[in-house]
Amino acid sequence: MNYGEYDIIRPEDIATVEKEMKVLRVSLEEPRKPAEKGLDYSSFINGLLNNPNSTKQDRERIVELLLKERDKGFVTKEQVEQMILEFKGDGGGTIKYGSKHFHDPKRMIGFLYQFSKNDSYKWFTHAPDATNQDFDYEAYVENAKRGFQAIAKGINQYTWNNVYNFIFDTKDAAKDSFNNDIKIRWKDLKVWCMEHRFMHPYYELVDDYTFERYITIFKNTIEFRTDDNNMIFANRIEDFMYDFAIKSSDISLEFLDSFYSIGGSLRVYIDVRQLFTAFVEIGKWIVSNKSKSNKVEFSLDEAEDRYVFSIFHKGSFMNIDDEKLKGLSGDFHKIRNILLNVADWTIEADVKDSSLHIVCLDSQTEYNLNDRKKATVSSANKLEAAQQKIGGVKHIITLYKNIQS
Amino acid sequence: MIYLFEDREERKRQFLGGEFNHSLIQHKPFDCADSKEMVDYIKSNYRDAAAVLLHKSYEFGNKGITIDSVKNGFQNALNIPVVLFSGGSNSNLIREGETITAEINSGVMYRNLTCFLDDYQTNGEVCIPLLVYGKNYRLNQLLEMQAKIYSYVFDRKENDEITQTDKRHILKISRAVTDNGLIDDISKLQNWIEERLTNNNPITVLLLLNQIQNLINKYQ
Repeated sequence: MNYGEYDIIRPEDIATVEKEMKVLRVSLEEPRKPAEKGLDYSSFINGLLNNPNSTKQDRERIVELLLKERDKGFVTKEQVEQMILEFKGDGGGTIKYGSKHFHDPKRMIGFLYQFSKNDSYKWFTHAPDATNQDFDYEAYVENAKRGFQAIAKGINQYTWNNVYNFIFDTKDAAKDSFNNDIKIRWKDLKVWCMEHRFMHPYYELVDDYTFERYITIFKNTIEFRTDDNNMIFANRIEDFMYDFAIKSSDISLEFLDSFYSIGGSLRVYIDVRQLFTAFVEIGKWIVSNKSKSNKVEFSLDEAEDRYVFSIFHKGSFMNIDDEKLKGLSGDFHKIRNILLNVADWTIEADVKDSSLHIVCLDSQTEYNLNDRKKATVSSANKLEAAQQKIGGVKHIITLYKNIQS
Repeated sequence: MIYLFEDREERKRQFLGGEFNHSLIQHKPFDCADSKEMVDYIKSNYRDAAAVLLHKSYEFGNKGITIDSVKNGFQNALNIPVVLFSGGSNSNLIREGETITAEINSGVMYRNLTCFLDDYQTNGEVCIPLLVYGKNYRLNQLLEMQAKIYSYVFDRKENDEITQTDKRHILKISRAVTDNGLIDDISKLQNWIEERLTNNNPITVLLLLNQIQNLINKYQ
C-alpha cells in the first residue's frame, strides 16, 4: 500500500522542524512554484502535521511556523492557509490518532463526489471537453496528490488505497468492484501523456480498448450510476447475488418490485468493492445456514437522504453466543470493518427464544485508528429487543445520498 | 418552461453552434443561498418549470448544495423530471415512480434539444425519451433492446431453448425500456416469457427473436 511521502517522516523530524524550516527558508530566496519537481513542501508539512507520533504541542508549533512562512515563497499563501484550516478546522485533513472516531459514511461520499465536481480530480474520470484542452498530466497529478489527504480525511483505508492506486503512480494495483485488478490505470498512461503534452488520454487506445473503458470500470467502483442500464443498482446487485454472493442453486432468490423500481434510479457514491465484499461474507452466512431456510428476499426503500437495502433470509434464525453477538470477533467483526465508513448495517433476527435488532454500524459506532493503515471497530454491537418476531434474519444496509443533513 | 443549468458556456456554444435561443428554454443560474430553504426557493423562482436539465458537475455557490439535494428539491417542490447531463456520461432513461427522467451524455442532449423543445411547444408536455433517443424514440428504444438481446444469444443455435438464467438476463434487458408508451407491450413480452417457462413450454432462440421482431414491426 502506498500513502505518499509523508508516511516516512520520523518522530525526530518534529523536534527538528524549526531548524529544517530555517534551512529551507534560507535556501529559497526566490518564490517557487508549489508543483516544482522535487520540492513538494506541502506534502512534507502535511506529513509533519499528521505524523502519528507528533504531540499537540508539536503540531501547534508547526502551525505557528507556517503562519510566519506565509508570503515568503516557501509554500504559497493559499497552501499554507489550506493546511492550517484543515488542521484547526472540524477535523479537516488531520487524522487524530488515539482519540475516539465514529463511523461516518458521509465522509466517503464527500470524498468520492470530488471526482464529479472538483476540477482537481474530475478529469481523472471524465472525457475532456472544450474547457480542458490543455491537460497537463504532471501538473495535474502533482496538484491532486497535494490535496489528496485533505479530501480523503476519515475514509475507510481500503477506499483510500484503491483510489490512490488508480490515479497515482504506485506499485499496487487498483481493484474493480469484484476485487480484480484494473488492468490499465493512470500510471500506465504516464509515458503517453509525456509524449503528448497537453492532451487528455481518455480516448487513447491502450490495448484492445481505449483508456475510457478502464476509467469507466473505476467509476463503477466508486459509484452506483444510472447512465448505463447494465450498470444500474438493480441489475448489478441481482447479478452479483446470483453469480457470486449466494451462488447456490438450491437457494431461491426473490427480488421484490421495490428492488427493481427504486433500484433503477438509485445513484450513490460508495466504495462498491467494499460493499460487494460484505455481501460475499453475508452470502456465506446464508449459504452455511441454508438448512434452516432456502429463501432469500431482497427489497429496497428510499427516504429523503438515504436508501435502505434489505437482504432477508426468511425463516432462518441466529444461534450464536452472547460473546459473538457483541461483534468484536470473528466474521461479525470482519464485516463491520469492511463496511466501516462505507454503509450503516443493522441485523434484525430471531435469536433463540427472542428477536433482536443488532445495530452493527451506525453513527455511534466507534473505531480505533492505530496508524493510518489500520482502522478497527472497537465498540460492541448495540442490542435492542424487537417488538415482534422477525421471521428470519434480515440484513439492513443503509446507503446515503449525497445530501447534507 | 425548461430550465437549463449549464456552467460550461463554451461547451454549450460548441454543441449548439453559437448562441441558442428558444422561447421555451431559460438559462438561469441556480443560486439558492440556503439548502434548508430550497423548496421555497424553487417554488418562487421556477414555478413554471416543466423539466430541468442539470449539469452533473454544476458548481453551486453554496457548498452545502449538491446535485442530489437540488434533484430532491425540484421533485419535492414541483414533481418534475430532473435530467442530469455530463460529458462523461452515457445515456439512459430512468423511471422514478411515475416520472420518466434520464441521465444523458451532454452531446446527445444538445443534439436532441431543438426537437425536444419543438415537441414540447407542439404538445404542451415534455417527452424526456425524445431527449435521449431523438425523434423515433420509441422505435430506437426497441431497437436497442433487440440489439442487446441479439448480442446475448449471439452464439446460440436457433433451436436452443431459453433457460431460467437466460430469462433473468432477457428480462433485465427488457426492463431498460421504461417509456410510458411502450410499457404495455414490454409487459406483454415479459409475461409471455414468464408464463411459457413457468408452464414448461419451451421458448427457442428463434421464437424469442421472432417475437421481438413482431413487436418492433408494430412501431416501424
